[in-house]
Amino acid sequence: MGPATASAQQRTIYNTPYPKTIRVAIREARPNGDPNPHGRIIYVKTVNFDDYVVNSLPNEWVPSWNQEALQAGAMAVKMFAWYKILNPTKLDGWEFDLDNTTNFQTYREGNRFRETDEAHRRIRELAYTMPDGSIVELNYRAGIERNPNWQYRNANMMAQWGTHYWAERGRNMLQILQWYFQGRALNRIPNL
Amino acid sequence: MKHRKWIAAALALALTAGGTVLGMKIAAATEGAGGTPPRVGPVRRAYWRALGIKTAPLQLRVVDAISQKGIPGAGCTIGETGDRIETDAEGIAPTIDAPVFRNPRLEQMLAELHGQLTVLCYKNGYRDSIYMGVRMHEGTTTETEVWMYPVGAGDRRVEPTLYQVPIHRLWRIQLADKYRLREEGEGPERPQLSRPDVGQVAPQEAQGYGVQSPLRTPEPPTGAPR
Repeated sequence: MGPATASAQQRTIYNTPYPKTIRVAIREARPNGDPNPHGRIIYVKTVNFDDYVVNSLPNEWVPSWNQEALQAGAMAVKMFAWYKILNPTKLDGWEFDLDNTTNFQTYREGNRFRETDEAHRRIRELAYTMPDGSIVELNYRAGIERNPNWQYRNANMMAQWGTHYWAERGRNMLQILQWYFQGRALNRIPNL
Repeated sequence: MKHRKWIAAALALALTAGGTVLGMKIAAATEGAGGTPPRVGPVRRAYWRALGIKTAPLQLRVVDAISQKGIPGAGCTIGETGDRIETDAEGIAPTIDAPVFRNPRLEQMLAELHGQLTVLCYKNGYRDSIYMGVRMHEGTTTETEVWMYPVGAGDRRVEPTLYQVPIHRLWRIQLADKYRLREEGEGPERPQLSRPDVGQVAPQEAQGYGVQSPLRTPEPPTGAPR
């Protein structure tokens, strides 16, 4: 199915503009601790979408990992966030796209690394979607170190340690994504 | 026995350079408290290199925590090395080469995925700012933003602010898994935990993208594609 035949109801990369901003709910943290996933929402901050990705990726993936693993991670972080923008959350009187904790993705400002920035830059114009361009949530979990993490493949999720495992064995970003998410396609985002 | 002379010479050199040998401090910092912060000498740096400790570029940007604008002329020190840098008109300090120190105490339990450094920044009119645990990874430039809080009317106790950068979540997951007894807690994460509750469908099932299968051993099934 090509872009022209995509359903009108479906949110695809062809009928949905690339996000400019994202609304991040900032949750309460204990002193010197990480934000509490069940903590009170203090405020909702609107941040630039690309800034969101590059400030989340190093908190989710390890910046010293192979660039292909980081690119697979950048794609997952970006597509997860994009899907959440299209499916926002209403909670306790707040409306937001995601929060800054592991409920969604760990987001921390002022915390960037050149390698993760570069990974996002390289995949910025690409989207990993259903073959018709539908935007779907790319879910991931930590997984197990030094292991391909088959159980995550079965669950249609990406294992973060698995991306490191495969990248060290020469697989590129697309091969890693294909290994964990079957039946998807890598598309170029139009008008970007 | 003939090595004794060399060992003694190395110790003497380390003492004169104000370094540490085998992790033991042998020369106390004599400066600080209003003077120039002590900067580690070449011997200690050579010692770190001999231990296999790598370095990576570190760039700091110091911003006003309220206005989010860069603070020019802020002085920052790397606590572990004594290296001192100053920010430019945009609040950006020159990139420096900093060691990737992994906490040896944590290494006894589980080696960290990254190193950690302490950064201290100073500027008149602002509270001193201490950032502990700034993450350093080999092979990539760390770009850290240091927030400084301006001193305002009504500030009675002007004390430093401290921000502790959390250790990477992947390391925390590994550490908890390492010491968990089989019957304790929720156990290692499992992909099927994304199912909201027993009997409910998982998000990817609701979207029609396949049915979740139960947890399997990490070994690939026979004949499965690699």
